[in-house]
Amino acid sequence: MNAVGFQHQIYQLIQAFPSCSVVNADGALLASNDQRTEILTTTRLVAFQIIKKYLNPKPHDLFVMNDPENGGYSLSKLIFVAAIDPNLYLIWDDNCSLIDFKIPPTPLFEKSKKNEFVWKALIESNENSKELAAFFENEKAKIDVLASQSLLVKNLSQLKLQTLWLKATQEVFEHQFSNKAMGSFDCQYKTPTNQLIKLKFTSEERQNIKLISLDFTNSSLATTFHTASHVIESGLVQKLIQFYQVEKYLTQSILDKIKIILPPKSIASKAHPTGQFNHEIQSACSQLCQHNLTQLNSQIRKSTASFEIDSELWLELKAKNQTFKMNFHQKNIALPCLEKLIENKSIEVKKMQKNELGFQLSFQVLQPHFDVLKVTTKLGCAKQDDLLKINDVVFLGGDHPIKTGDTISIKWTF
Amino acid sequence: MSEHAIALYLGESYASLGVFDLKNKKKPTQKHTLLFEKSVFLPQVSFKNLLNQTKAALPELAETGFKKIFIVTRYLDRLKTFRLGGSVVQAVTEGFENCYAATDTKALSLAAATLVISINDSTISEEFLTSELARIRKINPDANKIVLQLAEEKISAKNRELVHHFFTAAEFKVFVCSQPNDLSQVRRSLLNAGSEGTKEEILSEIKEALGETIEISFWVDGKFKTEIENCEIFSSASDFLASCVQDQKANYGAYLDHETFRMISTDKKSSWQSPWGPMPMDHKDIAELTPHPFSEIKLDHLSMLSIAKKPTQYEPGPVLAGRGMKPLVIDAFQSDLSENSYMQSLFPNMNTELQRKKIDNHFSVLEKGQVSNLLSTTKNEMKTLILSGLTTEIKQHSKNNPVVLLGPLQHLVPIDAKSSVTRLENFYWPTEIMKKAIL
Repeated sequence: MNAVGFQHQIYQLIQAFPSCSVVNADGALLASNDQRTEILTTTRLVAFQIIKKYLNPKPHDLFVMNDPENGGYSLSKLIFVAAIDPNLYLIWDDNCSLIDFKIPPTPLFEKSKKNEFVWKALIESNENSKELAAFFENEKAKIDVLASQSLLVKNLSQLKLQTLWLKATQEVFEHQFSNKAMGSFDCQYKTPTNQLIKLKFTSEERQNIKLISLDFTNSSLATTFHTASHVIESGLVQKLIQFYQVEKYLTQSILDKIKIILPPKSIASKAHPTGQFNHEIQSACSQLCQHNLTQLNSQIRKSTASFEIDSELWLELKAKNQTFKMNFHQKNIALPCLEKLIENKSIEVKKMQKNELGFQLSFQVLQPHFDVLKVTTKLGCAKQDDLLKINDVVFLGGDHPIKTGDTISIKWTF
Repeated sequence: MSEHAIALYLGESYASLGVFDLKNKKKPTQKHTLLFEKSVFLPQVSFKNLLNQTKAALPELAETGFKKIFIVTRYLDRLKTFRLGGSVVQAVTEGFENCYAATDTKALSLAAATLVISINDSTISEEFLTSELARIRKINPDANKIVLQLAEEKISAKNRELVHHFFTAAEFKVFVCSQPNDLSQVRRSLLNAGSEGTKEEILSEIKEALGETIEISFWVDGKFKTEIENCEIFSSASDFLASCVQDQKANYGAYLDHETFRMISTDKKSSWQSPWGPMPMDHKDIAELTPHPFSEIKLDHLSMLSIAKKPTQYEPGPVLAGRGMKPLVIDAFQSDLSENSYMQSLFPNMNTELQRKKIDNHFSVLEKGQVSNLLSTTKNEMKTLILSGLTTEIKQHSKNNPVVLLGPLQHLVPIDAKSSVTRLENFYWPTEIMKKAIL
């Protein structure tokens, strides 16, 4: 088999996992898939290193953990690690709203057998044990189907082929790197907490070594608004591979060409215990990166375009064991759970109107099972004063307790 | 059961028709009961032409009139990449305009955003509707369908009746959404309106060619039915194939023809994640297998040989069909399919020297045009990878459970002796359709 065959087979391996990474025993990234809005590329690699170091996964084992402080966004975002072969590991993440507590790196299955102690403590003692068991068993079934593809696994585990693939992806990246402008560009963003995030992008070639650096020097120190470095790295890596059009070729060869300088204890490098600002800061830094790339490669000699952040609002309506998300980003709206809430008669919609100028939604809470409405991301909405109201009172951000009869109104302008 | 009946499979790009003599109630699998059969590639031979050829081949039957036609179709799947409802008006309770499109703005739209009439229970009148109709006519003079999304608790029965009558009198086809508070039901009603034209196109051509009195049945929800909701037709083919899989006592099927490679399950899913957003509808598709047989093989932005993610349009078709100018996945398999009778009937010139040369030239240019690196490849290597990929995907989707291979191109997928994959041999659409029709 050659590099093309390897590429084809590794795609077969990861296509059923919308958010996953494949690494070898040395931790070298062989492929990555990040199709969800929450990007965990480097967070998964960190999770792998922790589990590899302390728990030594073997084929037919399955490990789970959550890690919001290092980029897992929330406790319900679970990261799984499984050895498909001693030289091939899959790390993937999935949401389980039944989990609202910290899970350290934990063996769920060992040699395909449930770890009785863990199963009792983590699942059987849970009030939703049936649903939780079904969720974990489904994750195990997914990896078992992959592991049963013996020829595929055998090919992908071969170090010789892995090395060939890494070399091929390096060739691709270097080709794409040479097609884009070299030099540097910097910009900054003032956060809602009046702190600065400064980002300087540089792409250069020295002694035949091609390197991209992203430097956050002179960004503000962390106070209350900050996030872990892995969160930022994941977002930046995504922007870079999209810009250089090498999404299908993201491997260790490309990661090794990216240098990210994050001053210690800065807004972009200090882990937050609950990961509360993970998405907001990741989104801002990714947009800064995108802006630098676009400006550096602009055909206009002296670009004067200043950085403007996209309007973005992420809301969570939290109920016991369930989180209903509502996301707004420029002209895109995603309210995946709203229809279920209407159907269950949990809410009654008073107004829901979409036209070319924007979108208006107003609904009343009918049932007492909601706890809180949470603003998880709010960027670039400065001009939208009446963006979010609870019982006709403007709600600027944070958490707001919700009770039966409350009316929530959103006015989103395109 | 009448003495003669037509079985028709109407795919997105081809039609396969058989006329069966059922006089002696012999099994339709027996050769002599099939009076006429024909398959055509629709971009080259129109559906109307096929029906006329049928009529011409059986003049005696044509004279007495064909009595019944049984249809399985995925013809409406050709709508799946389009925004629909350019001529569909929405009458909506004020404050709920275009609400169906708000929960996922990435979904395709089902109605023109400007063709909305906002109804307020206290201000509605015949004059208001007249002025709104004039406004609608200015925007789109061809608007001729309306979907009423008027909530009972907000609009009185009298006013709902007024709107209904007004637009019926204005010669609009009226679609009433019975649950306007349920956005998925609103989508379903809009899809019914948006696909009305395509369904009517099929029905009118059949009636025009085979007689107004012919009884037309579509396979929906596990049986042939004459009364159907338009959106049900979207699941006709997958539901039929699931039924064939079930007959083989399996839960999974992989269907292959020149316009789709797909997995089918016998498990019914009640919510359909359509390109226009979720809607309540039973369906049995699991996934499209990759690549799509109509995907173009081309040099990508890195000058490497690759397969496009999305298929090309069916017009003009693959190179082997004669007029296609871009090599498609199906072209790469020309030599493997040269003996396939189904392919030969659809593409009679596919094995000519000229077509073979054309295909070879296309791939030769692509192979030579690649940038030379570790990822350079050849047509033959791509074919091997496509086939091994299909096998892997089938195993993954079926979770290693038994799978039935069906469809006219099933033989592209090799069967490993150790695997739990079996074949439904001699799959021919009209025969399979008639088997179910006479049950």
